[in-house]
Amino acid sequence: MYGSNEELVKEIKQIEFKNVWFKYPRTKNWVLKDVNLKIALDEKIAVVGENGAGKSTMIKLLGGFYIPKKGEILIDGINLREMNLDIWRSQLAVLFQQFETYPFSAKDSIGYGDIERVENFEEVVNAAKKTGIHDYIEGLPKKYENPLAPEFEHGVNPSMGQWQRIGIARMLFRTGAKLLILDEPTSNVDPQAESDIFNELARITKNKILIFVTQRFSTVRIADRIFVLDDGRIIEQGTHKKLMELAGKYKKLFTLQAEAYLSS
Amino acid sequence: MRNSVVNPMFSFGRFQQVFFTLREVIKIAFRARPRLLTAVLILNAIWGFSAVPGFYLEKLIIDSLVSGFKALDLSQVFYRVATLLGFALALSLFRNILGSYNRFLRRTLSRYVDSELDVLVGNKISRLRLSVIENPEFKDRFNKVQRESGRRAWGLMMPLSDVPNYIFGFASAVAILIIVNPLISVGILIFSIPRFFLDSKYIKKDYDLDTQMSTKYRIWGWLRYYLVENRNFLELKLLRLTDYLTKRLKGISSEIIEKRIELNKQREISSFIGHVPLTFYDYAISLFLAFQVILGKITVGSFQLYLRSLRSAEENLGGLVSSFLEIYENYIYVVDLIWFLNLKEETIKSDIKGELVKEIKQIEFKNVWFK
Repeated sequence: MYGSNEELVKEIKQIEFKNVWFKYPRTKNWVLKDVNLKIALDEKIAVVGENGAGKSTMIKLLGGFYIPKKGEILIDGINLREMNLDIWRSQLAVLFQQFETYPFSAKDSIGYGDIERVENFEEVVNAAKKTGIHDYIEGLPKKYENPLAPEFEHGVNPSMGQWQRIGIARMLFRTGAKLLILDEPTSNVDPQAESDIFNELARITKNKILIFVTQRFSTVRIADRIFVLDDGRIIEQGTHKKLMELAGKYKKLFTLQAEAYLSS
Repeated sequence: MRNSVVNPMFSFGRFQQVFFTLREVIKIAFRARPRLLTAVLILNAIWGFSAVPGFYLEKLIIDSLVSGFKALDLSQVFYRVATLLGFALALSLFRNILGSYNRFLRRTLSRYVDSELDVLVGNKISRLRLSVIENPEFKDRFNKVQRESGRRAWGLMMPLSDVPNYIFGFASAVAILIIVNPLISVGILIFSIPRFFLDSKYIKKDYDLDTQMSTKYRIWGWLRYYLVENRNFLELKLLRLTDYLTKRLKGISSEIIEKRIELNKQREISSFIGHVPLTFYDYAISLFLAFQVILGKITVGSFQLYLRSLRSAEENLGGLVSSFLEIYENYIYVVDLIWFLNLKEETIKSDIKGELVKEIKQIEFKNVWFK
């Protein structure tokens, strides 16, 4: 049962996963196995690992959508279970791997990030500029009022990469959030745009926490720390340099991807 | 390419539209189950025709009873009436069985047509060029075809099977009325015109309203989708969009419903006004027939027969026109469907240069431009 401890989430200083075990209802296999980690304010964290390692599940647990079967998630030492979920979630800005694509207008699609401020056009435009989608929207017949589905008059069909930028803009529009989480945020975005987006994310993370889940190692270097998840366990953690020196799973995955780029 | 996707809407006259729709629907139903379609049409025609013998039996029963008041041997009257009632019972049973069987066959045919539409649409879509499939205008029109198919299959089979029923019901009732005076039948047609005119006018208005509200209907559909079938409920919860989307859904649905209620109100009032001439015509003919009875020109039984035939002719004509109007309501859907089914398929020229692609040695893009 979640409590109503409003004061606790006004400023997040530390997030801690303490011996967290989790498996989905009506399944046998543990998705997270004894996960322990601590994240502090101002930190940029990357979570890497292969498919099914449990990366997205960590985010779901952090959003309070599921409760750990064993162990606890602590926000500044307070168990997430004891907190008011509405208030806690108001501090989160999450871009899920399967984020929603709202077709009504470009303005709405970004503004839904913070429904109380959906009419704040200037801020919507700012968010769009940060992800480089502003020019695309400005080029549409009805600009920010243009529908984003061909079923509507003047409606267009943005590419997946364009949708991802809109999704990130929606997340960035949530300026009040203290914890920014991105799950595979730029998998369909071109390298230049990806680099721009991550630079912007790094810039705005001051006084916030940034967690991004990715399988693209080109972006992980901006992280202060990297967690490597494998079969539900954190098997390695540290900076890029440290993990490369460790010569473990991270180095293997990183080298594999780097070789693929360099081999030609 | 654009021309192959955007076909101008067929726009001939209203009667031609009805017959175009009817013809195309019959073609699809015939393709799905030819024998079943034939059975449905024939048995419904028999059902329509079988009403009038019942009226005639009623006439004989009434006349027998009236003449029986003067008869010396009442038992003979009784046996005669009992026999006639037996025939009426047999006819009633026959009609009950036939009615149930017709409903069963009609539902079965609707199911087959529904599945035939799925087969036709599914078979066609993958054979189209990708540039056609991805064209937004194609998508928009195709989505309508796909969304409407199930509902329309049922909506088309019902009036289609009713048409022979009403035609034969009307024809047999008119045949009886012609005995009295051929002009009575003509009168039914004339006095029904205001009703038909108003009904068709409101079907057109219904269409116009649907077209006018189509964007709002789409927004309604999207809002419903996000609230009910959202692919990421986590995001919905996190962004706390439920209240906002619900409020928007309520607003847009109320706006649509209010406009529809207003139109329906007008439609019902017009329908009442449209019925008035026929009601008074019915009254006048009833008076005329009663006068004929008083003058001794027709029997009480014949009075009943003519009156029943008059009402039956009115009802069947009304039903026939309603069925045509229902078919007309589906005109746009059928036009879209036929447009889709007639789209040019991707040409695979395997018969021409089949040998050339057996072994590929080189692929070349030569000054290729594309948008």
